[in-house]
Amino acid sequence: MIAKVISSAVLGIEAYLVQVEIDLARGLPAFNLVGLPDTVVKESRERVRASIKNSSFQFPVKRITVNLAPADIKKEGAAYDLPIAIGILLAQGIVDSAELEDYVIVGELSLNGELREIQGALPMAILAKQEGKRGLILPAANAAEAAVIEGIEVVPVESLSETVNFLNDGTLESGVEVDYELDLEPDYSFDFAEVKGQQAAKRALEVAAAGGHNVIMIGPPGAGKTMLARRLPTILPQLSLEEAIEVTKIYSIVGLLPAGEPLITTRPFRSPHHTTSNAGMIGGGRIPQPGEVSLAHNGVLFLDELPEFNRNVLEVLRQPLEEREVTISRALTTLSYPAGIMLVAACNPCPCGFFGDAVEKCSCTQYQISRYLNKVSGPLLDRIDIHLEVPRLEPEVISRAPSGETSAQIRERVNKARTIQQQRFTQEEINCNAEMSGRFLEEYCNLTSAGEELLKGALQRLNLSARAYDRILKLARSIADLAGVAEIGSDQVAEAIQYRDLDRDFFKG
Amino acid sequence: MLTRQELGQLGEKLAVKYLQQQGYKIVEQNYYCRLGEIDIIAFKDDYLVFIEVKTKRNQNFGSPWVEVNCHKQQKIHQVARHYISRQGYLETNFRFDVIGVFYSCSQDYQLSHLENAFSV
Repeated sequence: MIAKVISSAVLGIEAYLVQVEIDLARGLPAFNLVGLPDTVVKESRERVRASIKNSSFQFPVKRITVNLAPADIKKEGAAYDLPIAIGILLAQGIVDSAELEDYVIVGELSLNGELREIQGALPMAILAKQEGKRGLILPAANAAEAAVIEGIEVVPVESLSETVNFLNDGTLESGVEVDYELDLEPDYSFDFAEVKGQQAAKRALEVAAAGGHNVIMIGPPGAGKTMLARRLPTILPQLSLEEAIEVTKIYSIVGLLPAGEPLITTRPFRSPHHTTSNAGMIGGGRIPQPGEVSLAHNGVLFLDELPEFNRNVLEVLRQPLEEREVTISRALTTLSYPAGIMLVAACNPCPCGFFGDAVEKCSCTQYQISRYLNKVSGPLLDRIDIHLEVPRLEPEVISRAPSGETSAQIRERVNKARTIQQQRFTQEEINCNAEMSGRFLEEYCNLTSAGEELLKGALQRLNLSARAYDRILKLARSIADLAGVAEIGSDQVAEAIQYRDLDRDFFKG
Repeated sequence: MLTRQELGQLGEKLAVKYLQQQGYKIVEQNYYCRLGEIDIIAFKDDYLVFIEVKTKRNQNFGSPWVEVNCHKQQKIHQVARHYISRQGYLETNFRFDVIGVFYSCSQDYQLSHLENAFSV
């Protein structure tokens, strides 16, 4: 008596099919599980036994052997409970096998036969569709998540007996609604209109959003750096369906998907604490799990108090910032997670926080200041295009300043600039201005003669490096895109030079 | 007053009587080998059943089933395997049962049969 049920598991952000084979043999009663199960999978024996009994089915007194194929991938998690239970019932002839091959079955069982939520339902649904399966049978709690994928039947079940009834005569008791209406309109709880004053900073963030540039904000405590950063996702262009699915997949496999939100439509904003470890930042573990850079994929990674971060942690960010994905190798396996982030960092100008402040006096020595700022390595700063000073506001400005534009208004301009970039880069492998280098700069950053003159003068007077020159060109390109002009003029160059504070002597000590 | 041995034998007799009433065919009683002993081996409905009988006078020290602990289970399992290899059973279903007996006097006793009590 042999039975086969098709299930699925997740490795990295992709799912793969797992064949659950069950053999009931004569012999001393035993329940063996093979195919590299980890402890959680092994414990499913007890859950399966109890839930079969408590769903008033007979648990066979046989020698039961369960094989999870492919046998060479380590099996993790409790999602195999349901396929194993169904397989045992199938081998006994309690379940009808006619349609079983068309479905992928996943779910964790509780002792009374009810089903619990699993992780990674979205990648599994994508896989089921790719493999040409008719449907996916999964816990009702995960149904909405899987229903995002069109063209596949999602069968939400709440218990083992309901699953058996469905397989035998196609009836569903719970009737959970699985129709999902695609609505990509993001719904943020913050808005830029809430930020008073700080016009320069808002403009700089608009430029950053338009070109996908990384930003570092420098300012005394209480200037509003965090407040500004938190609102940056609200002016980024709306997520496309593919982007939303990419983001949701990552949250689905780590089980961080917010309840009642099957598809993440807002750009993620991650703000890890400065004590975060390497593994926490880029991902890690025996079987690597995504870290903060992957959780911030297609969104903003905000590092508050940048110099306080462990130096190692900042250095490991360099590769993902460049590649837009992160590959983590461990003894068991090597996995890649996407990491297309916009980095926003914030720091004080000196240890006491008031260097350069209009009112408060700075009590730091020149040496302390340069040591503080040198904690952030050159190569990382190299990848940050916009250096932005955020000064403290005068009390009367805070009380009198009119609330500015709303995020929606700014986003509209950003969207326009992004559209221009998409058209520009259709033939290239890059998507936005921030990713330009070498050849692209020459090809796409044409300066007017006035612009060129200004830039040359600035290079000499401010003693800027060749690297700074490239950054200024890129930024000027984004500013020009916002303005909708083809050639970069002196206005745009002038604005771009402002965003390179850390290249100046003032901060070099 | 019965000795422990006598009480045990009495319980096994009662269990055999009960099993025969239930339609079991008794194959072996007190099967000994150097690994240990199995009280009763019986056959019913395609299953060869290894039965451990536990007899008690009262419930003061808990149910008799409790006495068949992990160690005892392993012991029975070993003996059962020995028996199976000696007899050359291949295509047979096996099962382990426990029968608990409360014995006060010859008129007042109670049997409880636990089917498929354990598997290893």
